[in-house]
Amino acid sequence: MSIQGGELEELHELSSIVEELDQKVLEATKRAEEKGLMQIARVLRTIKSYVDLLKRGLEVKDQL
Amino acid sequence: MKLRYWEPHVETAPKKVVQKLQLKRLKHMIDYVYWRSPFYGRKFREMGLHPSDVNSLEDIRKFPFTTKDDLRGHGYPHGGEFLCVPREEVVCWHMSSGTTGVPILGGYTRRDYDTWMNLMARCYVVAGVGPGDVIMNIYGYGLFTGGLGFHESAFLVGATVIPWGTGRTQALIKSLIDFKATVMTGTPSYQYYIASLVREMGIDVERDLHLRITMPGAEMWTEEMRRRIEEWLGLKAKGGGARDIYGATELCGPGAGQECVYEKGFHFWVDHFLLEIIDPKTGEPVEPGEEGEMVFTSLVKEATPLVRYRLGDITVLDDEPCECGRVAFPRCLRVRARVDDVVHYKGVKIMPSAIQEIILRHKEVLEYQVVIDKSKLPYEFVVKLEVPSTERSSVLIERILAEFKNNLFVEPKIEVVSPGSLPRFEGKSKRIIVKE
Repeated sequence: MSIQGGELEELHELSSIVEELDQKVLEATKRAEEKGLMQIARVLRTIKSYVDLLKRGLEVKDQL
Repeated sequence: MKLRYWEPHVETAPKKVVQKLQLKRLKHMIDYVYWRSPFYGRKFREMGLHPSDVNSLEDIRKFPFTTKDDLRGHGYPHGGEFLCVPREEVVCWHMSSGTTGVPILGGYTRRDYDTWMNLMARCYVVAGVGPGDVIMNIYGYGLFTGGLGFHESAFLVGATVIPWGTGRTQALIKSLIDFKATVMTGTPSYQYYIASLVREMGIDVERDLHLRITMPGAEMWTEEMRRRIEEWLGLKAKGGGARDIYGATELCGPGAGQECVYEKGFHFWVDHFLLEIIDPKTGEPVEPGEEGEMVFTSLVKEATPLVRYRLGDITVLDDEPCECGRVAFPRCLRVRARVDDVVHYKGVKIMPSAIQEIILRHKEVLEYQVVIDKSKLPYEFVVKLEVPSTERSSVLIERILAEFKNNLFVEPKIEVVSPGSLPRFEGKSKRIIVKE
């Protein structure tokens, strides 16, 4: 098994969704911090760590 | 659903693609530690090295090795000069037991921790574990990375974990049966002990035991031991096996490499760790197929990344493509020894694995212990073998003695002892005792 053309396209599309998610999580974290909602901010930072993990996993597509 | 790959787009990527990814990450990492780690920043400057010196993967050889002594001298506590992030960003520390002095540390940022869990999930899937599996985790929970490493990552792959830890082995066997556990972790020595007890207790493994896969790691073991674990637990009959997992506190814990269903050595996750195999004496690289010491450079770690760290584990690299499709991830044939554990006896270097291979080849032997006494002259090399009285014979002793002489060039004194008289191990084993 190796990555086919259609799958590469899918990876790019997934990557765009993850990028969008990343921006939204960042924005939400910032707003939660500004309002002093620390529990929400901390959970969002945990989510951000998972988003970063997804971004790293998808990094391989740039080398194809 | 049976998973074949955890991250197919990464695991099945061509070698050239993974090498490009490695180079990108290596350049970033050298720059990262140059500016963030006081230890590396100082060391690189002293040697006139700069991040811009990395233009190919081979350029890593310009950089100095990092040793355990460096970590002990400059990395304790809280990572010392190796710490690359503000201390508050470290979410946990794991460390070696420190029985020989200052412990070796591994620090994790939140991202490091999630990355580790993800790699462990990859290992589970590579070994053949997936949703619905029940995992009996018998690695110790605590400072040692084994327990927690196998625990949380099991959730990611959709399995159920029973956090047994170590001890109460008879009760553990009952739980294996009652909970219909399909997977068991643990050191090979503990798995071997459990397997021998299962055999002694006369349990019908095909009918009563559901174990399909075990994931032995954290110490040296041999094919002979694998055969016994697989046979005594009935793993092969259920389409599984005992599949080697590799790791070290300095890397991330377990999860740096995993043997796939073809069981021809563990795939090393070179997208996270740049691997070199070197001649331990000269520090020069050895060719695939030649024995050498494992050296790694972290490619994605944030808290305590290491450059050219000498793991001290002796292995042989096999970079021939594997049938499983993970062509960019070379396999390390099982770790034969740690450099520190090689026995030096009358000018001969003896690998602990070579001793185990000889002894466990003989099915009559249940357990063994080697005592090398160098505190008096002449030196003594005693091999104690547990053999049931019904299976003892002079022919067996002569055969084992001849194999020691022909393969290891030593002539030990062989003592046959009663079954159950030698120590059993719930963690890492200590079968070779050297008195200096």
